[in-house]
Amino acid sequence: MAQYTENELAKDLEDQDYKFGFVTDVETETIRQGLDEGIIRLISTKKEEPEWLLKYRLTAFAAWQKMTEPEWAHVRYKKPDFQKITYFAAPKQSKKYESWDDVDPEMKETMAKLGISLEEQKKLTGVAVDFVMDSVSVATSFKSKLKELGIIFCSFSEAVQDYPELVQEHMGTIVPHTDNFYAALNAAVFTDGSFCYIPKGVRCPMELSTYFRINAEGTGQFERTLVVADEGAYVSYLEGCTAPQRDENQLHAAVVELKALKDAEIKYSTVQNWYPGDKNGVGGIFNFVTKRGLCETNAKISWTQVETGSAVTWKYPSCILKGDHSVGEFYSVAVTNNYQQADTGTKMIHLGKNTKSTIISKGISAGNSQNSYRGLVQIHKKAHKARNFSQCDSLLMTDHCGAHTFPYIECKNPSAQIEHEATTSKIGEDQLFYCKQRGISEEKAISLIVNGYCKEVLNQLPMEFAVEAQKLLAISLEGSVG
Amino acid sequence: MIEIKNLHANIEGKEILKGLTLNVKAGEVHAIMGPNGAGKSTLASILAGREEYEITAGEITFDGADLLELSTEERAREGLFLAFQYPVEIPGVSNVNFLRTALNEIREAKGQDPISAKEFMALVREKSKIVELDSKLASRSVNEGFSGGEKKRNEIFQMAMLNPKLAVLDETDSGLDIDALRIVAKGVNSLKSPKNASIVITHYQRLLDHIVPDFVHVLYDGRIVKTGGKELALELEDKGYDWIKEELQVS
Amino acid sequence: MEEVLKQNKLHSLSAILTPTNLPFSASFLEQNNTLLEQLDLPTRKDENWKYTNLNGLKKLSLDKGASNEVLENTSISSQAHKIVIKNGVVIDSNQAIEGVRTKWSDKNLPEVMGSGALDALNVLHCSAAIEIEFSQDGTTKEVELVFENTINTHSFPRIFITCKKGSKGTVILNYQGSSENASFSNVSSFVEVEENANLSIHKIHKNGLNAFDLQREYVSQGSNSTFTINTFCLSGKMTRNDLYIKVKGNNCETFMNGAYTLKGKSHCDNHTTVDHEVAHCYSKELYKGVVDDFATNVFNGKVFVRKDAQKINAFQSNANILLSETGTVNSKPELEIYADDVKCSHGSTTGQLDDEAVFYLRSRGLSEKAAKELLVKAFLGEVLEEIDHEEVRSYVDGQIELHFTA
Ligand SMILES: Nc1ncnc2c1ncn2[C@@H]1O[C@H](COP(=O)(O)OP(=O)(O)OP(=O)(O)O)[C@@H](O)[C@H]1O
Ligand SMILES: [Mg+2]
Repeated sequence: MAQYTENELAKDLEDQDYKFGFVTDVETETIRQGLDEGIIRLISTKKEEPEWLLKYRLTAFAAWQKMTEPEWAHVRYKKPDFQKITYFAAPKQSKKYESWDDVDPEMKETMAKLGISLEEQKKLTGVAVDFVMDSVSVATSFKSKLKELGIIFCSFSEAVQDYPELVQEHMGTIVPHTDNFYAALNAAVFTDGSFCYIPKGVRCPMELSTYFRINAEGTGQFERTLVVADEGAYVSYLEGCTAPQRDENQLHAAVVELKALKDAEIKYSTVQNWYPGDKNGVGGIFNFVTKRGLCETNAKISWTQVETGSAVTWKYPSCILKGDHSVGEFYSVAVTNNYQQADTGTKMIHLGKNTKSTIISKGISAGNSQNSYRGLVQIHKKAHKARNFSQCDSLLMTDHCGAHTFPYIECKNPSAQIEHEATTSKIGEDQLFYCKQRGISEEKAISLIVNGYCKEVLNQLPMEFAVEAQKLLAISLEGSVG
Repeated sequence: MIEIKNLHANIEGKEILKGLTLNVKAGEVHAIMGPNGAGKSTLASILAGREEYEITAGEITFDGADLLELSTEERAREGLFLAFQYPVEIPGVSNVNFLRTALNEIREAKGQDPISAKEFMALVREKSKIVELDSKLASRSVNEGFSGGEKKRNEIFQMAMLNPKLAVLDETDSGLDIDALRIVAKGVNSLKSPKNASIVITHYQRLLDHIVPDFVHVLYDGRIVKTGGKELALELEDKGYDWIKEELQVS
Repeated sequence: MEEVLKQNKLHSLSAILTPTNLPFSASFLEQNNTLLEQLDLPTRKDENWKYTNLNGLKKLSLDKGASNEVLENTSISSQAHKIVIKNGVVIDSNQAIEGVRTKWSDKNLPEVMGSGALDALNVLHCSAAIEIEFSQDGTTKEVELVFENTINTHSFPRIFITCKKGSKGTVILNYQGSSENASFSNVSSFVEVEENANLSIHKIHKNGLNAFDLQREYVSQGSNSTFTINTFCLSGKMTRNDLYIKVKGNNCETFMNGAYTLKGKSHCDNHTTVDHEVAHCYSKELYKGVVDDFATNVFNGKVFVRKDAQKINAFQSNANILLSETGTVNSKPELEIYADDVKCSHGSTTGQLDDEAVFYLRSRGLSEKAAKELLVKAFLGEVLEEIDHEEVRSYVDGQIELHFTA
């Protein structure tokens, strides 16, 4: 990160608008709008799914129909009309790509615009990328290299075809289809996503990365990610998201399940930059995501997220610390500007002995936005010597926005130690003045101070992602001072 | 270089500066002394452009331009540097990144290209030597966890890096041990040139042993009430401020 | 189905409670009746009652069984004017205290609506109403209300406290029950701290082991006022306090302190809300306690800073020591901030006594029990230090001592 300076940032700042707001002109295949059993059967047929999966979808759909949309989050929005959404939109293409060269040039261009030219990435960073556009996975690079190690990294649909037992064994075990309204919806209509399996004792030698993009109009994106790290395995997984600029609110309801078996470690990083809507709060993505990981003995799951996009975010990446000595971490930066609303945080469920969790959350609110941290630390009876440390800080940039903290702390074990701290304050006037006295403009001073304030979280990200995240922070806060 | 004429300034309705006049020419070193609460830091803050102060009368020209018309960062880019009495901590922002940003902003304002990473690092090495600043401090967050003396030394290091026309040092000597005092003085002296000037605010004559002032002013109750040479500092050290107060009452 | 349950819950409760005989207007009673029907009693589905279950009220039998135990020395303050409310009813000592009213004609009984079902229930079964007014040139400076419950009955008082412009007052709300007592207290208090006034309230919950004690205070503060409330939950089956403070004027100071010592099966729940509606105010909250045996403590502190309420400094802290394998601690400190120029923070810790410290004390010859006691007292000491009333402090101190010996 040291080599990246504010000057490079300036160039990115020139274009204040959402820089990923373009529409890719690829032909897409969509099905009719609306949601009923027929649609679910249709999706399943189109994807040539096995019978059990169709059954799973239908059970989830039945459960979903009985549920009501949750309202407890500190967000306000017009509820989506689920009959007005198209649940399947796939870039029309002959078949799966065998190699990068087969990929549609338009698509390649999209990726290039997103700053993720695969060719470059291949050369420079050795990141394996799976690209999910409008619910369908279009490219997974580096597959063969990973194969040698026994690592499976492919689209969810491929996994269903090629590794049905693995998928069936793990899918829905951490986020059951009955978990919540949006998880149920996802289980019923998900179209693709990523699947990753790291075999026993294997350390994945490269960052695995998925890019999600909503392209087609009037569609929702419902992807599922399943990462399984077998005993003693290690993987670092990156996820990035973008969507074009549209006046309508598009729905993104994803499910991510992580399973870290004994001694395994999963690092899951997200840079979420869905279209946030315009200055007046028109349009933008509704990002209602369920992310959860399970740790067996001695395992570790670490969530890192930089959330700058979406009109409404509702997201709590969580850890179930089931095994003794397991570790959960949550590092989060959430920026809201204009009329964005974010209600995000984590749940750390301590079941095993000597389990440990750390929560570092940095919220930044600007414009007329509302930014909430909501977290649960739960220490069960048998979680002897469990430890939690939480630090939740909020920074306010204007007097029209809101910053809120709702931590729930529940303890049933007397040997547990829980520490929670939170602060809310304005960006430091003295710090701004100090920067300005050294000749730094206000805008740049803010970006400098905010980046410093988020350092603890940004440091958790892999280098390329961290640079990207820094730029995003600056772009999101453009013109935010009140 | 800088001309302050009949400056009156308020904060929260209270008048702090009550007709202050001061003239500093290129190549000169001016020392300002005065009892606590006299308005020394207020003067420094106003020069740097802190917005809380209301200027009710008077004018300040800096290199012929109206200083009060300029924003804080514009003043900095014009070459005005303030070494703060209480430097603020900026967590998570490394000193190096901070200085590089500042330097490039100043260069950009002058129409110059940004400094290359190599040149920059060379500059850091050269300047940190002058103030004997541990290179570890350069990569740490701005002032965060620095000891009082380290903060002051860091201010001088930044001054050396930015090479200002006019440096205002607000009690940079307080809290320094003998060695640090010598180092800070060395830093200031090494920047001295016929084109630059400095205003040194201090309570102690000992700093003036190292940084020899051309003029010593006494700021009392919002005004410069006495001006003299280096010997005035010695006299103040010896006798305190009471005799000046008495002199004022007599007249 | 749900309808039926609702009816049952309310009706079974109403059936065992005597209707109020205070001279409320018919329309006021009707209003409260409607409110109660609409809201019903809170359940755990309500976010504010997530950790506190009122189902136990169903099993309540207010058989008025007399206890043989005679309460002794219940009063705490020697300088205060005293009013005794025995088993829910004001004992008329025929003393006239300036600024205090306990007898009502239909004309002067204040009719203030509360906000919840429990407030409505309080009106419908109100057993006493007490008004206290401090004024700048009044002679009354301190009032102690002693609530004694010796039989299993309901005690539903309404309390109105006004601290007039520029005045200073102290109120001690002292709830005492004989040890096996199973009363049901349900208290609504309305507190007005006017401009430049300074009011302190000390609340002691020393209830019988089977007693339910549900209380709400609605406080509003005028500009330049200071309000302090110290809450001590010492015993009782269930104690629930809802404290709502609206800070309506500039330059106010608000202090909330609480200590709780829970054992057996007691359940204690303190919900506090400080609502900063205007700028330039300071609030500080400190709640600490120890939880032993099968006891549960709930803390929920909310700080609101409304839009344009700039320059607010609000601090909130909750610390718990969990001493048993079967106890539970739930802590939920919350900040909701809509203004930018603020400094707000909260902290919450839950843990146990420092092993090192216990060891150290033992190595100096203290028994393990004595060592732990000493450390718990030191832990709670931080709250006791905040009490500026000598007698209240020494009373609470003594009770903490008793908590360990009894
Ligand atoms: N923000 C403020 N609000 C009110 N009064 C202020 C404020 N800032 C400064 N003052 C007052 O202005 C006067 C001058 O303060 P200043 O800091 O300039 O003194 P000084 O000469 O630098 O003193 P010292 O030697 O102690 O550093 C003091 O009386 C101080 O209390
Ligand atoms: Mg000063």
